[in-house]
Amino acid sequence: MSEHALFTKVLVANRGEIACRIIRTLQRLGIASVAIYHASDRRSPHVAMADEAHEIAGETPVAAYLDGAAILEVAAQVDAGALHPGYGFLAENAAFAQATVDAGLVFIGPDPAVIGLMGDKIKARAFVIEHGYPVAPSVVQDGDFDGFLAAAGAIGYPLLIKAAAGGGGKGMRIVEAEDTLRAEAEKAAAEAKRYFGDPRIYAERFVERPRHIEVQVLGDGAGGVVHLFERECSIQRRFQKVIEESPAPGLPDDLKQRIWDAAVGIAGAAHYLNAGTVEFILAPDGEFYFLEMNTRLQVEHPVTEMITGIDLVETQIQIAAGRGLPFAQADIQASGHAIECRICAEDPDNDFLPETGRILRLEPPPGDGVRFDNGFAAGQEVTAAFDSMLAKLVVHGADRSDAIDRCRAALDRLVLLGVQVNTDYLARLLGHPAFQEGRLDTGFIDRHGGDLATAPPTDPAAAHLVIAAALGCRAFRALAFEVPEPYASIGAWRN
Amino acid sequence: MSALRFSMNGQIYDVTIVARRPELVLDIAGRQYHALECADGSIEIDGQVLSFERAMDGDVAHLRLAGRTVAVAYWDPAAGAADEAHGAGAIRATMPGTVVQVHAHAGDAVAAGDAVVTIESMKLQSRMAAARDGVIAEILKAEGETFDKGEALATLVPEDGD
Repeated sequence: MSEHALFTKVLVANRGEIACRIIRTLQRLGIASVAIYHASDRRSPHVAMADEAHEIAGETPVAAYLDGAAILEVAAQVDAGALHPGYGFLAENAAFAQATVDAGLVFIGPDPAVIGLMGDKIKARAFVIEHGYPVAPSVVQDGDFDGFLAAAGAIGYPLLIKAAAGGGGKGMRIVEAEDTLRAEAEKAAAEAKRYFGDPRIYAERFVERPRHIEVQVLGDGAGGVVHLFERECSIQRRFQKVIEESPAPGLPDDLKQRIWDAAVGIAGAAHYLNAGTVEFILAPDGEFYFLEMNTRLQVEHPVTEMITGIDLVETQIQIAAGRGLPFAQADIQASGHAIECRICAEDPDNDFLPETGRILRLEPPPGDGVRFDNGFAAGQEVTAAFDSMLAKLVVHGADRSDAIDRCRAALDRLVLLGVQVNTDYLARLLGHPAFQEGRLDTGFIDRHGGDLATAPPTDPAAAHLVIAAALGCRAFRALAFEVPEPYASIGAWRN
Repeated sequence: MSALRFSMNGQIYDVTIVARRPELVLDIAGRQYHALECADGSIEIDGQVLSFERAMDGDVAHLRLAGRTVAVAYWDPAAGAADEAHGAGAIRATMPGTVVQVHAHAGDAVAAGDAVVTIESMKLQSRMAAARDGVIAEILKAEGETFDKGEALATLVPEDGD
């Protein structure tokens, strides 16, 4: 074993469920944890869980978590040895990773140069092509807009236009035919400039009925890379994942092996250090194309942890401490099936728009093989300031059908009241025949929207809901139960 | 007044207490229901035992029953007037942002929960809904206009009549 000691203190530069999840592993490893928070998060569980917590001022709540200089100031002040960025916020900011290293801390993640390479979608694609791995036919806009349009049209329709610096579906557009190409490309470039400060875009062949398959990798920074199998992430709304699982249902073993090999090859070529994810688009004909590489821990990493029994955050810390890869490929075994549902404050019947409100009750679902990664407590306000994801429900089962059953049962036992969430919708989705049969692609939610919509309650279900509500209402109870005796026997209430 | 009014998903439900003993008999939309509260917190309606989860936020019940999560608001006829005096007839922004879409016009009748405006704050869109039934008195911010936290976006007055 290695003589490299793990850190004595780690700063977690994040909030919500992922901050809590990282702190939990730090606690188990006996490493002191430091949380940061904006004033609006003062009562968040991550603040209470950490050994120490420091407030970061910010004009907006998000700005506080993006203030790299202020965060590194706290790190210096508390003498943290390393920083874990989580996902989102500064996790894929190469300049911040470099500043962390320059400040004498260990950045628990890849090398800043690799973050920069993979963060630029155009450079990343060129890198992947150069090393002989497949990307979808595409063309990059590099100044000559008319030339770009002509080359894009030559790829064939439908086309997908994306921002070079993009992510999260922002700046992404599907172009069905030539007559809308120019207008859509101009809109995409304007959106790319607005969201990412970089107007460069590229067009690629839009694969019909694509599946989103990604591979979890771990690298030692010297070309040594292992994979922890694939994750199926095709269930998406607004270009964002909502249900992920592993293994991917129905994929032949040889195809899986080729996808794993491509992921390991790409990460190896980049001398990738620490945990990362290589994302692919899988066409119905079995062809797959590199989509992008996420140089951080993913939201959906728990499904991989559930099937492999490996704590990815612990592994990240070991690698960051200089211990190298803690296991060889042959040591990594998968068993059973895991599914993750993202619990979001949103209205599935209104284009999944975020909802806000105060959480009145929050009780995690009990059950074997059930994990609930959560960053909120009852009494806390859910505002529009942050992403709408509140928690993740992750289940492990003997096989896919067992995992689906357990997941539906857990959704049923989860109590989260006060702000509208998507739990009922997720339960319907898991129960849909097409999902149960594993007929998945990224158009699933759009295609089955009608089946998945909330049917208005009919009688007597509507009346049952109203009666259950009425019995909790003070005015109703006063009228129904606290009537002085002479009047109680009258029966019907008359004015 | 013979009935208590509740709203759910923009629908109005008038609940009349027909009898209190030996069990509660309620009339909703012309149909009678026999309801009994059980010791374990569940309720029995017409012989059917229903277990549910409930959290009250003032007069609003947040419920989960039979795979359905809803908010049911008690429509207190006295509260409307009191609210007005305190300026609660306004729909106020909880965050600074921009109006993306206006869903209702002055004079429109809206039910509790109906979207009045959609706003965008921090690149995230959210719907601002009417807290109770009423009529839109004024839309104070048009599409594209920005606002500060706490600013009124629209004002609501109680519906005339009964």
